[in-house]
Amino acid sequence: MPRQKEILSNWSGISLLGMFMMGTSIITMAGKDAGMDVLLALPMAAVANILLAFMYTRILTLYPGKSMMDLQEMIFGKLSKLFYLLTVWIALHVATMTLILFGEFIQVVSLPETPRYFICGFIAALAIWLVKDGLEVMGRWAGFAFPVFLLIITGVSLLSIEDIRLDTLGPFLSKGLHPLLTGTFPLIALGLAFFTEVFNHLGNSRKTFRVFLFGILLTTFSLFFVYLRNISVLGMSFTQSLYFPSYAAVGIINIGNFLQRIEVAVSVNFILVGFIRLSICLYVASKGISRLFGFQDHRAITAPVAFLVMAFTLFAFRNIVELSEWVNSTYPYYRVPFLFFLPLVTWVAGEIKARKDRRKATLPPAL
Amino acid sequence: MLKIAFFITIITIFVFVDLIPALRRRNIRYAAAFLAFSCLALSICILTELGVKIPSPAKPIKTAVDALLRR
Repeated sequence: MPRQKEILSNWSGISLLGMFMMGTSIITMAGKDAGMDVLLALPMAAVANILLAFMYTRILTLYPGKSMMDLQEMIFGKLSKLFYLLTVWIALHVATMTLILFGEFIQVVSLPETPRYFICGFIAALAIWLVKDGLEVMGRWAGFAFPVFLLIITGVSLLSIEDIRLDTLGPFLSKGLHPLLTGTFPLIALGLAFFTEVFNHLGNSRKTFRVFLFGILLTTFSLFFVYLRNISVLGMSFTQSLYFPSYAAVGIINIGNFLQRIEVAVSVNFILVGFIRLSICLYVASKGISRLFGFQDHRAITAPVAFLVMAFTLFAFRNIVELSEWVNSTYPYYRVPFLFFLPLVTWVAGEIKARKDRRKATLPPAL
Repeated sequence: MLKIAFFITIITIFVFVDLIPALRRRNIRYAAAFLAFSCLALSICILTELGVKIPSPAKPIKTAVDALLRR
């Protein structure tokens, strides 16, 4: 039996978006290959994200209450299944990468003897639980966890003040514009496209763009401070050589031999945001699969979809080295067709359909 | 072997949570989809445990992207 429509508050929406966007960048520092220019790349990526948010908002407001998949069904009919298939593929892929990063991070920093599949299994089981409880619960949980997450970032950054050396910053743009552009591209959150399946549940659809905007700005500010702290504490070349620079930067904190070893705060933060990222990907993938097979409710299919993701983690990437290399060199380009061109086609077709519908509505009825 | 046992345990938990209620409601399509996806996941797990190298999609994707960008 289909359930009642779930309603997300604006704060829940902002929290979900913020946590999803920061997901892996908070720990791996996406775009760090650009060197010092990554600090300039962050605001540039924010501008690109806001432009993308315009498109996603337009998709969601063409027919208020309808998600992108609903719109695709209305426009393309049976052909929409091809769109669902592509969305499911990228959602499963992102979920797999997030789960592998989870497993690798926990294995590298604290549980080296524990097999990765074991860590992934427990996190996936939790994500299944959250997705099955529904978007409203997910939103409320994110609304509670996001302030905690921001508080941890602020607190830990303040504690690092003693170790910050501002002379490590700069020079900027020393190698021209190319590093800036290559650093900006991985920071553009094309994953925002997943939120076209989430924000149709916002209580007030007129505020969709505002939710996108606040989420993007909050994420950019938080990431900027995290990146600035990491670079000024560790230095650029050391930061670039690490897989988890945030963890190393916070590990240095030692105040009066009393307050030290607080890198666990970074782990908590990553678990909070990574968990939401995984849940959103699972939600989108199970929604797409349930539409492919014509099911009414996506909840019953969430668990087997998560089993598939768990199985993919066994062979997709063997370790963090392989994953990191692929994410830096291939992923920023590979996701473009799925997360940019697919919504673009839907948006253009949706505009044409909406215009036709409006014209029909204003025409006098045929005699 | 531990990997397979772990997978079976997790799947069994969700058999009670999802599959049996679906069967009670005579929702055969859900049950079939559940079984199909779970079997697929379990067979991937068994194959990797047996040492079969399943090709990762990451490599052909990387080759395609490199060719497209002429790197």
